[in-house]
Amino acid sequence: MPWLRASALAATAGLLVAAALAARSIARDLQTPRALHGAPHATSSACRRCHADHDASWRRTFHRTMTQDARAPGALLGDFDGTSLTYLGVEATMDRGPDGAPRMTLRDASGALLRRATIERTVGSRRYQQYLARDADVLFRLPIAWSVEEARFFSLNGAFLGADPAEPPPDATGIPAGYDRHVTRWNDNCIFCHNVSPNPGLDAARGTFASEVAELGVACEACHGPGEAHAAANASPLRRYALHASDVADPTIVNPARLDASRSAELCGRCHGQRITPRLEDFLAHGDPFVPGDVLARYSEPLAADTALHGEAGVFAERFWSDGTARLTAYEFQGYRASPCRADARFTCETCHAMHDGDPRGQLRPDAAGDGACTQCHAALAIPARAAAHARHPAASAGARCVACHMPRVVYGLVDAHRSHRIESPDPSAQARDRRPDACTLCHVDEGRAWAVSAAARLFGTTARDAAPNAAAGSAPDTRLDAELPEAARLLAGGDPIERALAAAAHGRPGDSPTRGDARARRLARLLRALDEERFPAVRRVVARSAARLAPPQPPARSAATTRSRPRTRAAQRSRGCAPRSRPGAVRSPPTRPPRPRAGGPMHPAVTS
Amino acid sequence: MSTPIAVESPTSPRAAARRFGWASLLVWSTAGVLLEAAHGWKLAAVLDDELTRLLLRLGHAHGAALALVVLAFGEAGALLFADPLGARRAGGLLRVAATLVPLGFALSAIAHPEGDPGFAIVLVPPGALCLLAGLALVTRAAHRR
Repeated sequence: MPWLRASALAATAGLLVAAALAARSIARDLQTPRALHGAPHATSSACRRCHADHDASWRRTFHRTMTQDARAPGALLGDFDGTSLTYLGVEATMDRGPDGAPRMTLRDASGALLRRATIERTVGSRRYQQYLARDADVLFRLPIAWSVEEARFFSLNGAFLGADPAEPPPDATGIPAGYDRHVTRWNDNCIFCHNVSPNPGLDAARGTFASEVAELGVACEACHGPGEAHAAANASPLRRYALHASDVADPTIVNPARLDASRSAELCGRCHGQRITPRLEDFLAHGDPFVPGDVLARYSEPLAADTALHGEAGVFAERFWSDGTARLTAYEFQGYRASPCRADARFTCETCHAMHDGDPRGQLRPDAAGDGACTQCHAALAIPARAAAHARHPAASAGARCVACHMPRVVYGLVDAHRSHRIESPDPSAQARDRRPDACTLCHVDEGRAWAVSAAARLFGTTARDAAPNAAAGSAPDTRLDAELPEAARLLAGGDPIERALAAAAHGRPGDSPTRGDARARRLARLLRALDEERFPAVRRVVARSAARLAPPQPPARSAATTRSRPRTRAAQRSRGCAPRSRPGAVRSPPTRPPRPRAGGPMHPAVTS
Repeated sequence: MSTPIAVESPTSPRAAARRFGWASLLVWSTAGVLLEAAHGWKLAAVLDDELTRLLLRLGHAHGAALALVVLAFGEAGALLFADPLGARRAGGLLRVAATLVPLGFALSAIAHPEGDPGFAIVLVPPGALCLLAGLALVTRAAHRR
C-alpha cells in the first residue's frame, strides 16, 4: 500500500516541522520579559491544577488562613455557640444568627443591646483569631478575639500593649471608652499584608472604600506575582515540557528561589518589616504597587528608630532598642538587614525558612532545625564538641544552641517574647550600655548584668566596656545596685511594658536551673507579685502563662468552666468583670469609623498603643 | 480421540498476535498485582504521590486492555484480511500501540515533574496513533469483506 507509506511519511514530516516551529516559538516566548504590574491574578485554585504538591504544602500554613471568609468550612475557630465574655461591664455573646452566620452581640449591664455584628471574615489562626464585620463599605475589626492557645475569647485589649482602661462613663454608643480601643478599619490596615494584591480603593473625596483583593489570605500570588498569564501560557504541554527540560526561568511568573538574596528578602520584608511610604494616598487609592521581584525601596522604606513622620523625628523610637534592634514583631526584615550574616550574598530569609516545608509554626526549613541554619555557613560548628567549645555551654543544653546567644528573645509581639532577627554576637557589656536586655540574663534569670559582664569576659574574653547607658536610651543610668540585681527580676518589676513582658516570658522558660525548687519558688513569687500589680493586660497574660509553667495547675476540683469564670486575683477581676444577663434592648450602630490615615503615615497600626 | 490442530506458521499475524497478546497480558496483569501489593503494604513511593498512582494505574489498565485487543485481533481481526500483508501491518501497529501506550504511562510515573508526567509520556501519542491506524485497517478490512 504505497499510499499508506506516503501518508505516514507526510504526517511524520508535518509533525516534525510543526514541532520545530513550536520549539522556536516557545524559545522566543521564554526569552520575552513580561510586565507583571497590573497583570491579572489567577488565584490558588488555578495554581493547584499543576502545582498540587506546592498547593498542599501551602495549605498547611498559617499564611493560607491569614484572612478567610467566616463561612468557609473550618475557617471559624472560636466557639460561636452562645459563649459570652464580660469585660468592662459589657457582655459580648458569640453565637449564630438564624441563617447560621456567626455574630457578636454586645449588651450592657442592664441587658440593653449595644451592638450586634455579623462576622464576615476572620483574620489569623495561629495564636489568635480576630473577627471582621461590615458597615457598608467598611470592614472593621471587632473588639473580641479568640485565643487559639487558651481556647477562649478575650478582649483585644489583652493582645496589644496598653494599660487597663480606666472606667469612665460610656460613650454615645453606650460602650465604655477603652472597650473599643482596638476596633480598627480593615480596609486601610490589615488588608495590606494579609491578602493578595490588596487595594483599599479609597475615594478620598467621598471618604468611601471600594476595597478589593485578588485572594483572601497570603496565597500563591502574594509571593509569586500575578499568575493568570502564567496559567494560560502553560496550558500548552509543549511549553511546560520545554520548561521541565531546561533551566530557563518562566518570565510569566516569579520564582523567589531564583531571585537574588536581597530581592527575595524584600519579598518577605514587605510584610515582615513594617514600612512607611511617602505615597500613602496612592497606596490607599490604588493599592500597594509592589510586585514580587521589585526593589522594595521603590515604594516604601522599612521603619527605623530615626524615621520621621510628617517631619517629626523619634515617633517610632520606642519600637527599637537604643542600638537599633527591633523591640516588636513584624520588624524581622529590619533585623535581617542589620545582621552581619548579610555579608554573605546568599543570606536571605529562605536560608532558615521555607514557605513550603517544615513545621507551619515558624516555617523553619527541616534542615535548618537545631543549629542547621547556622552550620550551613559555619560548618565547623556542626561538630558538637566544637559547638560546645564555642558556646562555652554543655553540648546538650539549650544554652549551646546558636540562637540562644545570637538571636535572643528581645522582641515582643502577639503576647509573647520572640527571637530577634538581628543576628548578633552577645555582648552584655554593650547591651547594658544600650539599656537592652541581653541573652545571658534572659536565660540566667536570677543573675544580674554585672554577673553577665564578668561571665562573658571570663568565658569569651570580651572586654567589660563602659557600662554607662547610651544617651540615646534616655533613661536614668544603671546604678551599681541595679547591675547586681537579677536583671530579669529588675525588668519585671520596673521595666517598660515590653521589658516587663520579655522578663515575664523569660521567667517561665526552663532557663538555667529549672529543677531547683528554691529558684523556681523565687521566680514564681516574682511572677505572682507582678500579676497582681501589672496594669497592662497583655503583660499580665504573659506573666500568668509563665507562672502556670512554673507551677502547673492542679486538676480542678470543679468543672473547668466554673473555675475559669471566677476571677482569682485583683488583676483578673479588673479584666473579667461580671454582669447579669437581662432583657434585650435597642440595636445600636456600629462604632464610629476610625479616623482617616494621614499621608506619609506608617502602613500598619502601631503594635503598641 | 482428539481433533487435530491446524498447523499455523509461527510468523503468521495470528501467531504473532497470540504470542504478544498473552505475554503482554501476563506482564501487565503482574503489574496490576504489584500495584495492589503496593496498596496492601502502603508503599509510600506509590501511594503518596497522586500523579504517580494515576500514571501507574493508566499503564496497567492500558497494558492489559491493549493486550486483549491484540488477542482479539489474533483470533478474529486477522481473519478479516484477504491480503496477508495488510493483516501483518495491522497486527504490527496494534502490537506497537500495546507496547508504547502502557510503557509511556508507566515509565512517566518515574521522577515526574510537579503536575506533569515524566518525559516518557512522549511514547503515548505515537502509540495512540498506531492504535488508531491499526484499528482503521481492521475496520476497513471488515467493510471490504
